[in-house]
Amino acid sequence: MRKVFIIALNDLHLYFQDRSNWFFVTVMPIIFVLIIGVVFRGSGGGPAVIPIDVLDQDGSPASAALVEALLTANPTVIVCPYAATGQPDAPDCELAEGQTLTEALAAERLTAGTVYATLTIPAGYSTALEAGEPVELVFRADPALSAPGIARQTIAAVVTRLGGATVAARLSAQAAADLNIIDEDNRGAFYAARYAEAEAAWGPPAPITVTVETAQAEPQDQTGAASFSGFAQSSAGMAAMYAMINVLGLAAVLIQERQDGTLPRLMVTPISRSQILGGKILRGYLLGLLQFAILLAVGALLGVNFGRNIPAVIVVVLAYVFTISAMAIALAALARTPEQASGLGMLATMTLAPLGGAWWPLEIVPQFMQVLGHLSPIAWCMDAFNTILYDGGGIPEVIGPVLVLLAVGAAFFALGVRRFRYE
Amino acid sequence: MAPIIQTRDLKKQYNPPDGPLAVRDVDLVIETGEVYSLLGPNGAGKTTTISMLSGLLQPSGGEAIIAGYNIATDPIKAKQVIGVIPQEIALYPRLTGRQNLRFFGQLYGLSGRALESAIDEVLEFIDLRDRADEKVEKYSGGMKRRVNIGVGLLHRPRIVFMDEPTVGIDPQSRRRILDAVLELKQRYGMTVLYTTHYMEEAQELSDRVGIIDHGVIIAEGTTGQLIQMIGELDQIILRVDNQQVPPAMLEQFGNVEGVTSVNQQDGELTVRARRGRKALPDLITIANNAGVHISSVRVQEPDLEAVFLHLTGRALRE
Ligand SMILES: Nc1ncnc2c1ncn2[C@@H]1O[C@H](COP(=O)(O)OP(=O)(O)OP(=O)(O)O)[C@@H](O)[C@H]1O
Ligand SMILES: [Mg+2]
Repeated sequence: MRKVFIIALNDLHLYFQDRSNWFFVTVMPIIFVLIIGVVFRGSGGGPAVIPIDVLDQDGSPASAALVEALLTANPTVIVCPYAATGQPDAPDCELAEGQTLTEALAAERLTAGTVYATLTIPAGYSTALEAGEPVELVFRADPALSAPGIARQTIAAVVTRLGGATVAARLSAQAAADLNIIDEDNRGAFYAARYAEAEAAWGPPAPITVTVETAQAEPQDQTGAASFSGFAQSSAGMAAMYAMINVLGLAAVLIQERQDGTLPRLMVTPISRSQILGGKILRGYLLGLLQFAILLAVGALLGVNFGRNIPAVIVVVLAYVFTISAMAIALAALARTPEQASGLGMLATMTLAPLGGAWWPLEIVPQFMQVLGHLSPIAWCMDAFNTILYDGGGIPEVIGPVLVLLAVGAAFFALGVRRFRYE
Repeated sequence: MAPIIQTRDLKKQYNPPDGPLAVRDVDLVIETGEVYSLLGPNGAGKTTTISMLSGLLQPSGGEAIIAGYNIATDPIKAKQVIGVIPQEIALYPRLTGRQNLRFFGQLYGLSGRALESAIDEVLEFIDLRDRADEKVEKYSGGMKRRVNIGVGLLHRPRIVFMDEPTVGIDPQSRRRILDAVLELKQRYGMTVLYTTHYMEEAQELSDRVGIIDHGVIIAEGTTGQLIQMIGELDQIILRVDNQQVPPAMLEQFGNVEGVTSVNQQDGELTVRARRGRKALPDLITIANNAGVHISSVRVQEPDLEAVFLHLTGRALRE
């Protein structure tokens, strides 16, 4: 095993001795992460649907008005259980026949992942509002997810608007009442009083505030990217693409070494062929991991939230890099010259990357292209990343794509190891 | 004591079933401490034989035992005692000489101080101390060759395979390499299997020589034994360039006293005779009478070249 590492490290040393390779592993992919991330910032992957529960404990006209405002505020935020059924892409969050939303049920639905967040309108909401006392709404969500952020912003916007309206209504009601008792002499005093009241009413604290509470949610299987972050797409996508380019470069190196006689020379040293090939594959593997480490770190710096799912990210990366390392061996077995290997490797990457959703999310391409795209290992890698980033998926949720990647890798590995010619 | 290298019916056919039979039924027996040369023209099967002995190529038949280990069934152990110096330079050009030595040394299981002192010793041996930390791509051809040799010696192998190490280099570097081979034998007691198509090298270096042609060892022994085998004949080489030589003249050559054979190849007549210098005046007279102009004359005492010519009817070098 030590000799396998010696070979891999010697190869990496040779690789990074070439300054231009640093460029291909760091500068260039980072530039693309930035460009593609900015291009896709804020654009959604299909209809983004964020179901939330609103638990109305007040049951007043004022609380009903708040629900009404939320229903129409943002089409992507679905307010359960009030949402009209039959709404396009409405998620399955209606209550069962005869069921009413209680605090316990709401908590259960949040944990189960039926909804992304729960907003509680406390009893006494309308009374406090009319009295001009501050009111607190309670918003509970899993902070590891980005989707609830959208819901919270929507609620904040609605609440600000309602709050403003409430204050205005209260002030004018008071003004109307006051009209009867105003005489010409008191006019100046009246204005001064109204001005002071208005200022006090608008000043902090705002009449309605939203308190955020945290809750742990089960991973969700809701489709549709809730909060589509451009940098999440671009850091994962470019990592998958550049890892493929750089790892497939191994094929040309292997063929070159066979031509230069260093591969035959390795074979007369007292180590087995599998150790030699193992060292070469390890070189590819480590380079692939390095590429992911760099670009995912860049993604994290740009605000991509890998949340609590780092282990799932690691599992996906390990599986995907295995697949592309195996592809490199298969390419080395099929190509005859180093030039051919480089050309085919570049061609493969430049086909598989856009096809598999490395450049843009597959959700925006037609259905048949989505199906076709899954011929590319990158599509399975990106599926897994989307599951982790947008749906809060953990290892159990990415097992499917990971198994596909491992199976594809194993097939390439078997082909490559069997067909590769050492002499 | 058992021979350190022994092969039985070693065969290699490339791309069977129709590919060329590069090596046929080679039986080698080489004793510890011997320098053994495989002498043969291009394409004779020298590299193929060495590749099979070093575990690089799978033989199509037969077996090879190296220091008691069967190379087919016990390759790792066999490879540990062999140092291979390939015909073509096989180094990482972007690494320095020292880095190349270190990398391959590690693969032979050397590490730490043992590795560093082995590297220093080898650098001394190949006389490359002062340039060791430059990249190989900056070396001259001769320096590359020397590093190429050094890599094969790092782990102090008991057996060294050297495949035509002097091809394409200047006479000075060549001299150094030949001296190195003798030093490996005399100072380190190594067994050397050396291949070449230069008969002078084989003659100078070897305890024994195997002459290989078309994959077959056609003769084997000390230089003296091989020359004796062809009857210690002198060779008279007459340069006639591209003149027409009448068959009658060749017949008359054959009748001169002491002459045993006459050969014509590449504008040269090679006459083998028991006492060449005595036959020479008669040969020149006959040629003059036949109207064939002789532009130069050489008389060669018997050597391995003559042996090869005698055995194959062809010159070793074309
Ligand atoms: N990989 C190969 N595939 C097919 N034929 C080969 C291969 N390698 C060598 N041969 C053939 O086998 C024969 C022996 O080749 P080999 O290289 O062993 O000769 P050699 O004695 O080392 O010659 P040289 O002095 O040119 O190095 C030649 O006819 C050669 O063309
Ligand atoms: Mg050769």
